[in-house]
Amino acid sequence: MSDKYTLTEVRAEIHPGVTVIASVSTLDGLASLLEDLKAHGMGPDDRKKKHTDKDGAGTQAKDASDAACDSPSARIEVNAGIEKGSLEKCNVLAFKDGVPQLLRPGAFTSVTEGALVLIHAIEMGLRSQGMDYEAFKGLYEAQSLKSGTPLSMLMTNLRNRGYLDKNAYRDGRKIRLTAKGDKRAVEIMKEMIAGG
Amino acid sequence: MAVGKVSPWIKGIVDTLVGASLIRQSSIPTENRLVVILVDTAFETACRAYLKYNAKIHLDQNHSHRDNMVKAVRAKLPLVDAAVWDSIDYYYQEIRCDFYHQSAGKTLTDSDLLDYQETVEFVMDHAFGIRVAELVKAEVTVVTPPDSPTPQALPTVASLTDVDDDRDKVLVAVAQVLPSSVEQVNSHLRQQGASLRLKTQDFTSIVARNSGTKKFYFFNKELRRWEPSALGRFRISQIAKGQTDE
Repeated sequence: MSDKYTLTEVRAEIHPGVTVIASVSTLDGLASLLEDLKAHGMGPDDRKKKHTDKDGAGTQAKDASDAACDSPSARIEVNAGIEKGSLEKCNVLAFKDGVPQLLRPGAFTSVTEGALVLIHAIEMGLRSQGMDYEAFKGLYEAQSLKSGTPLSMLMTNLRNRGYLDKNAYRDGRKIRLTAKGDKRAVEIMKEMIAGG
Repeated sequence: MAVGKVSPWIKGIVDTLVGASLIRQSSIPTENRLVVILVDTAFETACRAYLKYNAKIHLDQNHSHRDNMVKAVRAKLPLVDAAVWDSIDYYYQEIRCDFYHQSAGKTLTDSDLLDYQETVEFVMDHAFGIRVAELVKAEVTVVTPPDSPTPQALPTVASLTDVDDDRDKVLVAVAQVLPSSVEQVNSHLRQQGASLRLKTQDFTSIVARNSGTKKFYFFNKELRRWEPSALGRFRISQIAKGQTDE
């Protein structure tokens, strides 16, 4: 394995809304994981095969469906296993000009939860991992989240609860969710959708 | 708000933090230790200035003790959470006093220091109704020689021709040129090999319609030029990572 990168985690979507997250540190480990998934008919490729139209008909419809799936909101919804369009319909989250926006910032139980969902929206919706603190601060301040605590302390709260990668923050003030943080963000969004 | 237009007592506080920023950019081995001491000085000065000039409280012998003074400020700022005061108190008791009076060799990590400074600036923002960090950033730009590296440089977008969306191209060009006119933007676009050209009204429409704290641009009145806002910098960081609008 090259010493120019380090494997830490792999995410394999085995079914719409179902993503396997595994800690992997070597390429051998990654190969074993993919083999095991394939052996159980859950490999990422298996999913594609099931969806492939045998005679090629319906390819156009599939492309249209993929395009709809490829919007930032749809990516978050598919990953969370929630109904498509519900994030916007329930006024939780929307994207404009490539920027996520919390539609009801006052509806979150705490500002920390709002910040968590916002980070998840960037990582999952915009496929952007490990953003700079200063870049995130600009986005956070544009959300009208009323708080008696500065963002830096909210990030400390998230780190202490295990939702943010501590090493990434310490090394370069990079903001990156842990698997636990992703899971919690999904729970918060589901709670908001269920609550209307 | 330009630094030149703020009250003189705020100017002094901002200058202290500008000094802290310049030390942090320096190559002094224990620069963070010095920055902690300066940031705490700025906080204590800000508390005194707030009570005297904003809260209009007559300062007496009691206020010469830091504890009493901070308590008085805390009582006047109920919107600031208790955890914020606890954090500042912790840094004062456990770190600043140690650095100031005892340990010359100790220092603090960069991320902890930035967290501490942001906490102090948060209290100042609430007390004076200003954005201290913006004032400090503007002043650092003025006092730093043009060829010096800036501490929070924008993420690099390798080539404007790789940016698909025209709105993104304009945002990146504005961030790279910090223009006062559309000619400077067009000249930069030409230099970078991008085919996009803007008419004056197009440019004005883009930056003016998208200016403000919740938009991508703001007009720096002091330097008379367009700059990306904090949200604009976030967008640029996404463009730099190869993101496009969907």
